[in-house]
Amino acid sequence: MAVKTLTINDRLVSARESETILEAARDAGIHIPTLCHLEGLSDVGACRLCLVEIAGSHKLQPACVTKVAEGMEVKTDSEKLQKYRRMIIEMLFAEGNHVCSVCVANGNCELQDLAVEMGMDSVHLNYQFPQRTVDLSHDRFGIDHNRCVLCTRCVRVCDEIEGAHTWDVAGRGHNAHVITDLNQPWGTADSCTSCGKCMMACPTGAIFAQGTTVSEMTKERDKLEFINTARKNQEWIL
Amino acid sequence: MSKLLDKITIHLDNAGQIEDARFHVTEFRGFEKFCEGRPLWEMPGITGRICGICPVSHLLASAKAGDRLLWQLIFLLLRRNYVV
Amino acid sequence: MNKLKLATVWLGGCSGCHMSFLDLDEWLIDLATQVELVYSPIADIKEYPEGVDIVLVEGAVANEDNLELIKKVRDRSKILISFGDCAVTGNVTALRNPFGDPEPFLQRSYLEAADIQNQIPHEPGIVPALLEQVKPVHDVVEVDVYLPGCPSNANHIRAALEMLLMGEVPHLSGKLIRFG
Repeated sequence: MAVKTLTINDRLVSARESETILEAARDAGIHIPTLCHLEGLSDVGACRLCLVEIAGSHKLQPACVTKVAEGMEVKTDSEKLQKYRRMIIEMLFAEGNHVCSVCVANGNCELQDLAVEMGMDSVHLNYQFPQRTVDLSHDRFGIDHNRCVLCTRCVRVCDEIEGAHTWDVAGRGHNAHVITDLNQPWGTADSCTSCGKCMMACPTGAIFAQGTTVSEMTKERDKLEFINTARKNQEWIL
Repeated sequence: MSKLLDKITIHLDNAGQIEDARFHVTEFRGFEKFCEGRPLWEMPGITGRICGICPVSHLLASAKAGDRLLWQLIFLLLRRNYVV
Repeated sequence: MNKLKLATVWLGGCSGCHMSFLDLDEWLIDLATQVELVYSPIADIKEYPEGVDIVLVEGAVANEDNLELIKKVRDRSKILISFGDCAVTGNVTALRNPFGDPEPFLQRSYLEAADIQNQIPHEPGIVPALLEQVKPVHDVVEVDVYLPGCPSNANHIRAALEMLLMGEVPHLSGKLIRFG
């Protein structure tokens, strides 16, 4: 197994050949903010929050899907990146209807945490106020599309860990939204096993357990971690 | 009261008699409409924001209304399944 | 030394942020020794005065009265603080925005849901017309300090005001700028 040596923020870091910049940075204790990345799922580079600067490249690269290379010089926290990241969060807030104060995930929301991290005290883009729907047809869960940031974590967790592939994305651009089965009410989606992994994976209050009120929703992400560890170490094989 | 909920105006005529009096409450936000279609359990959190001075009364009212709805639901389910 | 002139303004909101401000309790007495309250919904003053040093603006811009007042407030004040989530983001006041036109809201509230006297209030010059879209304060006028929260935590208000009293315009960060 080849080892690559690179510098991240002027620090020498060694990483396995197969690792991404994000993994190498996290192993070295260097923080890179992420939203669509979730441990145990494949990465898609959808949210662009983990963009980093690589010397010699004029393009910013998403750390979660860029593999390490020998002699790479990476900057994760330059002023330009901070500006970009704040703008990304502002765009996410302006694009949906994110009303933190009356959201089930208030206080347990990754988007809200990221806004604090980026120092976002206000949004200077025009709020879009899209008209989106709430689907409460499922017995145990609900989805409020107003709070969806299209990170596609639910799509990936359902496909890769549960193996049901109930979730998918329909529409393009402004019209993109997550759907269940053949774009039908969640309650009628036969492939859904009601496992709740999409709810655990969802970074915001978009997918929630029915019966939770404002600020009450916790994501129980340790359950996902448990399954991931079990799969990785094949702990169920005797 | 006039200091908290906007203002009260009293108009007098020339003889000093009250001609018109108005209680100005112009704080219209449309909770009646935008709450429609939202999950029942979020209602106490949303209606609590009707008034910052008396959020508890709005919160309790909506919690009680929600309880009544659920009670009706249980009643209907019971009737459908168990009552001959 | 002249006392700083402090004002608080209530636009389209629930007044919860003012309640949170009053939650500062005994610190308000300290504050009163350093500032003069020149305009506030909790004081009986009819007209927004000139030469205000610090103004806390609660609520979003939801109707024509709000719009008129906030422009006057901006003209006559040095430091304008966008106070609470409604002022900063529109928050609950802006929940009607995705529906567009406010007319269906008036119909639902005053006609369909009314028990008695079902009519939409219409008194030009007295009842202010609703704006098509509720706007956060910084969409209409320039804002100097943002203090979000629903409501803003009393200690956060104090932290911001203390910095202002020492003569600096605070750049808030961390939990002080957390929405919700």
